[in-house]
Amino acid sequence: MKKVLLLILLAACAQGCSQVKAWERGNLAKAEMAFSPDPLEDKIRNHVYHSKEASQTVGAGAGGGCGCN
Amino acid sequence: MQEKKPALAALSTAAMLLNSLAPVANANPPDQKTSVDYRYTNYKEGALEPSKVAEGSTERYTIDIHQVKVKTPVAGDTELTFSGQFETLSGASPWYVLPNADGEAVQVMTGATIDESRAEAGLDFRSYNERSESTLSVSYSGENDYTSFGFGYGGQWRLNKNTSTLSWGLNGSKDYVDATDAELYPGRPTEETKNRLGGYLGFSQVMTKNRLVGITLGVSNLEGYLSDPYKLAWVAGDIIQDSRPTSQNNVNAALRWREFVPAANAALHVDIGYYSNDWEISSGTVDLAWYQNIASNWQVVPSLRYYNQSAAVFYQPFYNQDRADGFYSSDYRLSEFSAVSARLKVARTFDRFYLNFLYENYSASGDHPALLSFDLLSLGIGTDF
Repeated sequence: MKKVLLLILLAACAQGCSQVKAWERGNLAKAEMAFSPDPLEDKIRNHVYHSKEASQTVGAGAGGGCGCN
Repeated sequence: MQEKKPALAALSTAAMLLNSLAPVANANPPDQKTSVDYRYTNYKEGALEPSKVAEGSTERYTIDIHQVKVKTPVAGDTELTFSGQFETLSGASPWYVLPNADGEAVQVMTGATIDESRAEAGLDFRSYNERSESTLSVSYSGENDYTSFGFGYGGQWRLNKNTSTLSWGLNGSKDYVDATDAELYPGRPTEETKNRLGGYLGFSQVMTKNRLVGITLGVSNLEGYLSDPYKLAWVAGDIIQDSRPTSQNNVNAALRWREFVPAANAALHVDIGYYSNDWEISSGTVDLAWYQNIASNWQVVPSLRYYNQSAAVFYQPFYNQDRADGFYSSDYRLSEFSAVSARLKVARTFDRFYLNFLYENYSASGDHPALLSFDLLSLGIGTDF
């Protein structure tokens, strides 16, 4: 998995970071291009995964409860 | 006051117009609006196969969840967000695993149906500047047997004309464990605590006018009571309390790729995650989503998630002999398994509010007899003014 992460990052960089002007960023500013377009949905799904899988997430804040079931 | 020359004035006006039209990708300045969001979710775990259950109910948990979020501006560059969540839970849960006559692992479920609830509240205070922002968060989660207080502080710096963003954060929590019916079940924990401290660093980059890529690296440390207060383990014929190390160190990395496809009027999301801890659990996650815009403000989002994890070094479904380190856990969440999750979301945006509906089906596969499957139905609605 670490190799896959590195490969994808390299692929992204290999294509270069073109200088995107401010007025060319209309598509980037669309809601569906956000890293988290629906924070409440992400919160509930991350809560479920966190309770049912061993992985810990790194999000800010805390809480989440026991998940003892 | 010196009067501007017409040509210069026209250029200044044009520049101001361009700036006001230019959306700030990779940034999200306060919009000076109050927004209210609500989401209802029904989570239902699939029943276990009767052949894998030695005792107790095959029916598992059902959880109803209500979430609300209210964001309101405090000043021109600050905003406050309150979030609340209330859950009601009922059903039976996996208790311990034992070998059947053929030596195969079979699950014992809790005998009685458990009914409980959880309430969570959080407050975020966000301060935004042209080149940076920071957010201070506090949260509380309460159940009859578990209480958690959390904090978080994170920030962002936007660089290179808002094409690069450096992000960072620190967060922690203090949890209190006080198991129910401890007087009936000797060994159940009372007045135990758990501390968590974590941090992350992130970097995201506008690669092209249609591509945004971000990477995050995080570490966290857990200290204290990390066992499950209600689970047991079968050890050479004896039933003993779930017992795990009192420390856990975690490392994870996440890569997020957003690609807008103008020809399809759609956006592709690729999220890849890697996680590892010093209990020798490592996991990988790949999550793909396609945000398809269609006419009249409709959006359809099919997505697929694949997850795989290795087992904790001390995990076994049951133990034929004692372990030298004294650690025992037969929790399915510490076993080796993989899981596939398929989701479909349909969203509609109106002039003053939005509405969306989400369905998810999750199914895990591996050797543990109580591996999870669930269906999740969720309805979201919100407005701003």
